[in-house]
Amino acid sequence: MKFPELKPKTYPNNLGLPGWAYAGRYGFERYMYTLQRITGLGVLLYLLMHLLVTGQKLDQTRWEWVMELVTKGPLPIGEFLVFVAAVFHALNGIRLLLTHFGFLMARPARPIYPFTVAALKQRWAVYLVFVVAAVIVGYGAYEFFLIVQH
Amino acid sequence: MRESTLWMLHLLAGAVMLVVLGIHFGVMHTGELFGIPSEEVLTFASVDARSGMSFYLVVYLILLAAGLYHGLYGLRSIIFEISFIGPGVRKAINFILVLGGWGFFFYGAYAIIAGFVV
Amino acid sequence: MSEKNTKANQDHVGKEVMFRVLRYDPDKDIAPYFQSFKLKPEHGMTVLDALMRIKETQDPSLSYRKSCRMGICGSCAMMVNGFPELACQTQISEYDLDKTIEVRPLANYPILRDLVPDLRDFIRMHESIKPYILRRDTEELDKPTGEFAQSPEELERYVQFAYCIKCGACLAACPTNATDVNFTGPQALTAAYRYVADSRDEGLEERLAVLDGPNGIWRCHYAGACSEACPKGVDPSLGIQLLKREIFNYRVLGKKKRPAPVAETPEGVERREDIPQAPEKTVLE
Repeated sequence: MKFPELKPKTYPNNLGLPGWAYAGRYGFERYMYTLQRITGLGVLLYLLMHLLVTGQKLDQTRWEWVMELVTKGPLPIGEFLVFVAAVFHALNGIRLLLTHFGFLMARPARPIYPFTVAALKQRWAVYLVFVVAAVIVGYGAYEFFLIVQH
Repeated sequence: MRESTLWMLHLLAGAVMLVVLGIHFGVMHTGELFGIPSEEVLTFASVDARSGMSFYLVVYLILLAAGLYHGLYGLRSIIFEISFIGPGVRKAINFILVLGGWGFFFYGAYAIIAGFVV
Repeated sequence: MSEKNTKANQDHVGKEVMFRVLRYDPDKDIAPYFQSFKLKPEHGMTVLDALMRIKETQDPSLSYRKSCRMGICGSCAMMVNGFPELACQTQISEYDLDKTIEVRPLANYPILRDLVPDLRDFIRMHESIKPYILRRDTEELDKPTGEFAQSPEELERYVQFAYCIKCGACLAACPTNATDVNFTGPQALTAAYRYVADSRDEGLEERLAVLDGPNGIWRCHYAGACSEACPKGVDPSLGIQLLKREIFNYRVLGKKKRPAPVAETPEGVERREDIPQAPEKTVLE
């Protein structure tokens, strides 16, 4: 017997893009996902512009003209920000590479108290990502701001 | 291509980039490690010299391919997740990204190979 | 958090608690709106108790789903102060009773009415990954001769993911679900892993059509929010990452799974007299 399918009026309730930015009291990893996306998009945009700039390396005059353009003003600071983004993206990417194949996580077990949520078992990797990123960015900032003196 | 193949290539490109981008950062930002004084690394002479070395030819070609693939696949992921789009629009986005990717790749590869040959 | 609130809530004895509940009647309202209710809390009152008290004493038109009231049916999942919880398992004393407790329907599902989400797509997605044992030896499945042999270790590999009560809280937490209407969702992906990891099943190939699609498992990026929201400790994000490993093993390494065989009855063993025989088959061949 075929029942007619009901089509009630519903109101859409997706969190949408703001759901990526903040959605409630979740742990770090949910927001690392958004950060990974933002840094990835930033680096991609930079890559496309970078290809256009470095493509000028075949001719000396064009090269020197384009180097003049990009080493002035706020652009080098923008490049430094891209460096920070790339470092975070790469380190978090290593963490994701491992967890996406099930490494760093807890083994499946019956959810009897006290059991470890896998997200908590790999939380040390999240902290490690931030610490190593801070070290590398710190060294880069030292090089950039003090040595090269921009 | 199957989605899982595309994804595995995305992870592979990411892992490969850890190495080649590390080399690129090393050369550009800490020139001493690669025998280039850091003030000179952006001069035309230095760039020209590096262009002629086969080591950098290989490294930069791999970096270009891996970087473009990884980035554009990520962009495709984001677009596919943001909205409900039908299979026709999906095919169109695939086509645009593939076209754009190959375009940038040929542009970059030309610069790299021409710099090596000349 | 609950200790701090218990101390604060000891000062709150006898005072009323304010609840802010999302209301929406599709026949009357254009858009959802909030309505506030004041309630005197009782000892051990859960959010579900509070909603039932409001419905009984203040506004009988308030709609919500509930059934078992003990955290096993999964009907009463809703957003309490911005986090998906089972209303029957959430004590109001967990929250600061001087502030308003905000109750909304589960995020990322269309709202049918008040606190009732539309779960039809959720169920449809669950059905699409074929949530049953798939095997090639269909004669054994149709006319069973014995049970399939599965050791306790093999059971441990998937039993955690079998505890799912299909409440839908994981989809409310998932950031991919926030923007992608067609994403398979953590519940369906974990249910798929529950069957793929089951030693009796050999159906990974059939499920790959859904899992390996453009809105399938590869749109999960391990935000881990689903595991935080799950009220039964199913840990869907773990299941999904392990499923990615299974798909990698199958597609790239070409590992084939040998499903559990029918358990052999040991030879030369006699049945004890006090154990009765199985009853006659009532279903004719």
